[in-house]
Amino acid sequence: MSEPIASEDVDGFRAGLARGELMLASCTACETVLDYSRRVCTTCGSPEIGWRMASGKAKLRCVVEMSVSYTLELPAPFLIASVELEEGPHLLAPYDGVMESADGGQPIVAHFEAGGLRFRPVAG
Amino acid sequence: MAGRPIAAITGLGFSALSRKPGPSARRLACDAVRDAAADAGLALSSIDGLLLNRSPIEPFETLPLNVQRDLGMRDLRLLASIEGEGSSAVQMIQYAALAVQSGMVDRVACVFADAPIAPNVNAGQAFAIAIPMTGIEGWEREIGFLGAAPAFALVAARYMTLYGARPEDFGAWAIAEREWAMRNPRAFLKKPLSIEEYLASRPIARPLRMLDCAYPVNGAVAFIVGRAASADQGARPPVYIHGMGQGHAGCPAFGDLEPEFDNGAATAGRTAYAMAGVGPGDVSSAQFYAPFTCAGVVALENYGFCKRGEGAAFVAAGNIAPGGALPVNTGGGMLSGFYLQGATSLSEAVIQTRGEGGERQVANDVVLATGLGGRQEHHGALILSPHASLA
Repeated sequence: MSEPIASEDVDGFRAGLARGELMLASCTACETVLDYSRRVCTTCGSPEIGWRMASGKAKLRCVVEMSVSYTLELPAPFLIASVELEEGPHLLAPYDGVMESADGGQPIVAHFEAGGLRFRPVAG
Repeated sequence: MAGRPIAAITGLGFSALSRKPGPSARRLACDAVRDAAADAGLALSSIDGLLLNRSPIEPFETLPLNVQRDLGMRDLRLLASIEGEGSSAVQMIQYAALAVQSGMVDRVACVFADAPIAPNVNAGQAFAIAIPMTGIEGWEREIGFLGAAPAFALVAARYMTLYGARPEDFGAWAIAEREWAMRNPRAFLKKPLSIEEYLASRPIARPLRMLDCAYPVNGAVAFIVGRAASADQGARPPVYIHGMGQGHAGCPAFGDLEPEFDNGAATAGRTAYAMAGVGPGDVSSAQFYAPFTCAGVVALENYGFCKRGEGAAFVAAGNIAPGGALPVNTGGGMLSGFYLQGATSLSEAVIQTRGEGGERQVANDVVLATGLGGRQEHHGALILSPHASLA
């Protein structure tokens, strides 16, 4: 894994997205990878949370279809997946797959399209 | 500890409940508190505590501490607004019971009030807020994950993924609540519901359909909590509080943990059961906070009525419907009765415990009432009984 970059709260996640990189929160003191809701390290208590690049590999947990349009920018229907990143944290993200074939545990991978983070099934 | 009640619910009051825009939550709250005091046969001036529960998605001013002044309540010895998301109504009863039992206060009015339906806001729009789930501020809004429905759709989807539940199983929950609602004069949706109609109802956030979702109304419900020792001298049959529990799992969204299911409800249930000296097998009816069908299925498991993954089949077998082994949400629940957050399950628990359920009345020796907050992160449970002793 790359060296963690120190940052405030979730700025590192968004800075990563801007570069087309999926970042993980991790403790700069003890290197524990944290889920995205943490603001201090759950292992050592350090508030020094840094960011490191994720592999992009993940497992599909389940898929939900947003069936109703709430905003003009995001017309329904579209899919959102709950994913378990290889490093542990769960994340929600748009999903380029088929809801009906979304078995739990299937391998998926992060990709970036028009500057946005998405996941899709691993080909093959 | 078991056998001696902590306190009692001696009054229950409702404002008008409506699907149309009307008075503010603050005004509705006053109507409900006055109605509850009258129901208990008490003058407002004899109530020396007030606890408030506003909808967690509304600003604080919606139901301010100034409700005290609206009601002309002088010299209160307890006044607070409780914030535990959807578990707040049950939490109010718990804190009121503890305050009464300790002697800090004699009687506490606890009120929930909400008016989500406004002139330009329908029920769906009112709850189309972005529920923070990932912990990344603004992320849910950014990806269009809006509303309570998708948050619970994840619970249903994960349940189906792990345990192979079918849409018909969740439909059985919706139909059971509808059958109960048909027996409740206060319920809003009373037209018979078939599985075909359920399956054909429009998708909101697949796998959730419209008929998996709560039916919000404007309204308020109030409860009076007083001493157990004098509860049998009230105007209404006493409702003794024998057990109380909360559970807030703080389950991280990480690795193979399942925050959708390991959410704290089991802890709330175990604590309340132990305090009352009962178990799930003793429960006559369960009044669950279930804003979506899947939440009810998960609650059946967490409160010990079935094993993990078996709740869907338990519901599909007819156990929770009228005539079933475990009457559940006997007022029609949040889907067919009315959705007023924690006040829905709690008010029905009081009605059942009093034996005032009319056509829908079932055995009532031990009644479980639960509250659930957020996307299931917060839980509260009460064990109620018409009996002063459960020993």
